[in-house]
Amino acid sequence: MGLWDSILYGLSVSLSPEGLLACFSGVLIGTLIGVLPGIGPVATMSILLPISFKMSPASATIMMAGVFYGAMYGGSTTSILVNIPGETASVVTCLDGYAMARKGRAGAALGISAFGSFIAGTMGVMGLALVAPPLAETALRFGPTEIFCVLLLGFAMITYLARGSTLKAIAMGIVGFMLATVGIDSLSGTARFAYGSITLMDGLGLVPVVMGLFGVSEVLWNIDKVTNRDIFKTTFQGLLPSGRDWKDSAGPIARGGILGFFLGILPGVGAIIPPFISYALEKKLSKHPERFGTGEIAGVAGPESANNAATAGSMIPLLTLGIPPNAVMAVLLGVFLIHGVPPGPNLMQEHPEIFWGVITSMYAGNVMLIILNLPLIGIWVKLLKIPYEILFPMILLFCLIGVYSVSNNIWEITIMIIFGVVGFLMKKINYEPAPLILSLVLGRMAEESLRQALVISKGDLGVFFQRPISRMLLIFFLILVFAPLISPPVKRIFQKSKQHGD
Amino acid sequence: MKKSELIGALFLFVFGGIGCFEALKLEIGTISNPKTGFFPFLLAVGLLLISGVLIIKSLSMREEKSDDTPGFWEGVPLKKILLVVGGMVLYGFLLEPLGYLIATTLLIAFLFKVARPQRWRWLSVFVWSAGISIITYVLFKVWLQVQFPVGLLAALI
Repeated sequence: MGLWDSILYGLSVSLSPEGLLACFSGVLIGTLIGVLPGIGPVATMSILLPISFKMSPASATIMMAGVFYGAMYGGSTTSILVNIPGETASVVTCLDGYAMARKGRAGAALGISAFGSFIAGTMGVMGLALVAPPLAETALRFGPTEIFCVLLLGFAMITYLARGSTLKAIAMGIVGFMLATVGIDSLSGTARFAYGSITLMDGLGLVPVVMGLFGVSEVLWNIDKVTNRDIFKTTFQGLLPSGRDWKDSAGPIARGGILGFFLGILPGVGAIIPPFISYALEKKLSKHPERFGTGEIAGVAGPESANNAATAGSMIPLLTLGIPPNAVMAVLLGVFLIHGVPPGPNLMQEHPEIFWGVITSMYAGNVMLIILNLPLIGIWVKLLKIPYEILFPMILLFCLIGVYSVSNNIWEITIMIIFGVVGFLMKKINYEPAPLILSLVLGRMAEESLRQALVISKGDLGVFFQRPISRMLLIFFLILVFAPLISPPVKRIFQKSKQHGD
Repeated sequence: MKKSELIGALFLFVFGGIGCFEALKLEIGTISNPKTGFFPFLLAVGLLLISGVLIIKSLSMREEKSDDTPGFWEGVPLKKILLVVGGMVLYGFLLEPLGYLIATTLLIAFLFKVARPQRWRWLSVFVWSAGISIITYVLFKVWLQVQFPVGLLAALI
């Protein structure tokens, strides 16, 4: 199918009633949780996993993607109005966004943030539509050898770029792999670490673990922490930025969009790091760097565009190679697995409705979001007033029902709670959950591809270096492992954003 | 040494140790011909090594000793968290015997009370939480067709 035909096909999926409903629910929920501090896109997607069961894989994916990029729109609202980032990717927007609000320019900040997100988001989607197919074509030539190498590389990048100690991230990854081995070994049929429990023989379910580690633990973490602040009482005349604002923002939006898109593709980056880099870039390029922090619109336009473009970019590795580059995409991968859709290089060929459906839904989603975010801003502001004490029981209830609805097994509820506590403790001593989830999701795939590769090559380990693609991937892997010793500047850039990221 | 780091690393070490032990019970095979236990064993060994390094690191970390330094549990509403976790665990076990509606009403009432003890009186709490359980029941059972245990209410039918 030519590109245009593919897009039309995708539109037929995403603009169907089911697709539109999924998209709308996704972006609505995404905006909602983006606005509300105390719960983020990963936790929400985890909690929505059970609900996604009832939908077709394409609609489920559309909804989850909507939650992700919707949260980027919503997050800026609280950052600008209350100086609390709705979620981590909007931290940078607090800097100049809130300053603008204090000067009475909240309207312009909100407006440019929404428009910038829209423009960059659309740029990102177009980039996705253009870059993904050729990449997917290449990926078709991937056998188990290449798949293992890609997984290895992705895992290396995630641990390398993890916030906090790399050693701890590796440890978390190993734990995740170990947990992935629980259950019946597919290549030999024997049960591992099941201790006779029927629940465990099925393997540690992705749903209870993810919901516990991200959903429940986040709630536990935020009990008592999320207090209500005074929302900025500005009567803003209009949400339309002035002509001057547009002029000042055009460059940042374009740069932020491109930057965010390409960075988002890299494993481990996600939507959190690009805004920081965009801010730093805009400050460097600005004719008035000293104004940053006092309400300079470029400091809002750039980062906001970057985080939206990054959401599109981060979908590329997942849709083309089946490799999730960050925690959010790992949960999305979980959606695929739950629906029996094997992720991987064949996704575009075997499930074009998912591939093109998601991509085209992102156009629709961005349009919906700009409608939701600008006129309806008053509603979101009111929602900020709901006390967390009312919210968190509801969130926990959804988690409990959600887990139960998947398997009707109360032990999975217990597993979820255990992981909730574990996740909480991990946060306390600075261990990242993302590598754990990633390796839990990918662990089976990694082990299988390694063992398959060895079976095919009859035990010859050299096969990884003989085949061209996997050789290249392995070289990247080795570069990555030894890079910190060679190029301190590179590591320093990421270190800086690591510190701010917390 | 930093106690919290040490304990965390020790946990990992123990986990790795158990993993090793269990993996050895399965057939390991060789690197060219890995069997069931191969990966788990390799991973567990890796974890032992890394957690070993983390243990050593934590021993050499200086505990931030000053009177201003908050304790580990400072700022953590421990009692609330334990109550919430306990409530959820209990919910898991009561869900089937008591049925969804009753168990959920109890849970929500409990959680609201835990969240803000002064704000709610028992009666209004129960009314609200019964309402919430009914609404969510309709939402999940009718719209999403989740199977819920009927429990005690079955006796009434």
